[in-house]
Amino acid sequence: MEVVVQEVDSSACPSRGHLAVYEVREFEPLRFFSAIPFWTEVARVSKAHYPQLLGACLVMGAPAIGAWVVDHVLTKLIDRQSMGKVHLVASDPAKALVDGRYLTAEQVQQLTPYGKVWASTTPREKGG
Amino acid sequence: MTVLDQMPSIPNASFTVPAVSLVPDLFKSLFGGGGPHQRYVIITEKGIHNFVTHEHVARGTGLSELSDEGEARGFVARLRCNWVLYRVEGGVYTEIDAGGIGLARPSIRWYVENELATKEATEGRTQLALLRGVLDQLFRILSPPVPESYVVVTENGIHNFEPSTHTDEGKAREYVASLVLCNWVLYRVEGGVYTEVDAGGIGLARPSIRWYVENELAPAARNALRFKGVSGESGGLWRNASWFVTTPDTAPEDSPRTPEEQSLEKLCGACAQLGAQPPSAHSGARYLKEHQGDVAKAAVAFAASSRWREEEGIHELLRPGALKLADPTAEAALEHAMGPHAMQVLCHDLEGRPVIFYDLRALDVPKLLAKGVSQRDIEPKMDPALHASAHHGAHPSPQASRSATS
Repeated sequence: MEVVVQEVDSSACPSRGHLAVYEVREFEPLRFFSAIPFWTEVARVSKAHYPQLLGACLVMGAPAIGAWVVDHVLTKLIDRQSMGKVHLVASDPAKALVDGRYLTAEQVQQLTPYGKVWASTTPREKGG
Repeated sequence: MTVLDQMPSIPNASFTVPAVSLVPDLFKSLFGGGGPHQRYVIITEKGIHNFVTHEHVARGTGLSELSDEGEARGFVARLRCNWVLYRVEGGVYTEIDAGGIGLARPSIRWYVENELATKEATEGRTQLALLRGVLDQLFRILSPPVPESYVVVTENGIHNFEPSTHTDEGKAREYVASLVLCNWVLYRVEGGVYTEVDAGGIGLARPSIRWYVENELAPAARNALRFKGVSGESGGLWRNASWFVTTPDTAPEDSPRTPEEQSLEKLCGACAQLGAQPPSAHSGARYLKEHQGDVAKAAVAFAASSRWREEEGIHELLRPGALKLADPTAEAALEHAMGPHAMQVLCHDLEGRPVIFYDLRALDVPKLLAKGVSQRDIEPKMDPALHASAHHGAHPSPQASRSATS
C-alpha cells in the first residue's frame, strides 16, 4: 500500500485512486478459503489505514464461484461502497480492459505481447 | 417530489392553511411531476459496463413499465444472463431478487447504486434546478458584464501545464507565435466558461491539455466564481473574475479557499490537537472522503493511523532488505510466490489512475505456512505496511525469523 500511496499521490488525479488488476487464473477457490484470515487482515488494514485508495478493481480469470464469493464472503470483509468497485472478469482480460474503457487498445498491445502481464511472471523494474 | 418538498422545513410554522397547501399543487402544475409511483425495473449487463434495463429488452412488447411484481418475475424467468430486480418508489431502488448465470451481479448493483439511482434523484431535482436557472438568469442580468480573457495553455513536460492569460485575442496569438516546438490550445474565457478558439504546435499534447482544462482549470474557475458570488467578500458577483487563470505563483495572496481547502485546514488543526502530524493534502482529502467530510472523525482516524505507523515501525519495513528471511528455503518459497512479479505498476489508465497489477497465481498461503513462512512475512510482499499488522494477526508463525543483519 505504501507503493500504491506513492503512485496515487504522484498521479494526475489522486482523488480517483488506482486501478487494481488482480490476476487469479489457476487460483483455486480452496486456496482462497483456506487463507481467509490472511485476506481479512489485508482488508482490515487497508480500510483502516489506507482509505479511499481504490478506484476500481478488476479480478481477471475469476472462477465460476467468484460471484458467490463476492456475494457471501467479500461483503463481510469490505464495505458495500468498495464492493461496488470490484468487477469480476471471466473472459479475455485484454478485451475487458479495452471494453471497460480502462486502457486503450494500444496500451494493452504494449502490455501483452511481451509477456509483461498475462503471459509470464517476469519481474519488472518497479516491483513492490 | 415538488420544489417545496425539497426546501428546509420552518420550525413552528403551520402549513395547514388551505391556501398554502395549494402551493405544492401549483408548482406541480407548473413544473410537472407527481407523487411516489411504484414500479419494477430489471437490470442486466450485456458486456462490460453495458447495463441494460428491461425496457430496452422488451421494446415493442408492451412491457416497458412493470407495475406488478408477478409480471416482473415472469419476465426474468425468460432471461438467461445475470439480472437484478428492483422495486422503485419515489426514486429509491430496493433490491427484490437477483439471479441468472454469470458474474455480473456486483457490477449491476454498483451501477444502480452509483449511477441509475443518482440519475433519478437528479431528475427529481430538475424542478428545483429550473427555479435556480431562473434566479441565475436574474443574477446575470443584474450583475456587471464579465471581463473576457484569452488563455493559452501549453504542456512543458508530462502533466506540467502552463496557462498564460491575455486581455485580447491579438496578444494571445502573438504569444502563440513566439512558442517554439510545443503544443498549445487557445481558449476564450468568459464567466468561468472555457471555449476553445484554436490549437496548434508540434507534438501530441493537445488531448492532455484539453483534459487538464476540462477537469481542472475550468472547474476551479467555476468554483472561484461561485465562492466570490456567495461570500460577497469581493464586493460583487463577477469582480476579479480572471484571477483564477493566473499561475499559482502569481495568484493573489487573498485568493479565496475552496470548501475542501477549508476542511483540510480544519483537519490539520484537529490532528495537531490530537498530537498527530498534519496529513498531506492528498492524504487528508482521502480521510475526509472516507468519513463523508466529518472533520472530527477524519482527524481521529488519521491520528490512530499515525500512531499505528509509529508503533509498528512502518518506515523500517520500507528499508531495502528489511523483509528478507533468514531461512533460505522459506525465502525461496516466498520469492517464488510473492517476488517482485507479484505487484507491478504498469501504466496509467484513461482516467489518469495508476494501474497496479497483482499476480496471485503462485500465492498459496497454507503451503507457504507449511514451509516455514509466516503470515507476517507474506503480507508485506503485497503491502509493506501489513507486515507489522500481522504481529496481531491470526496466523503468527515464529519459525521463519527475519535475519538480524537485514
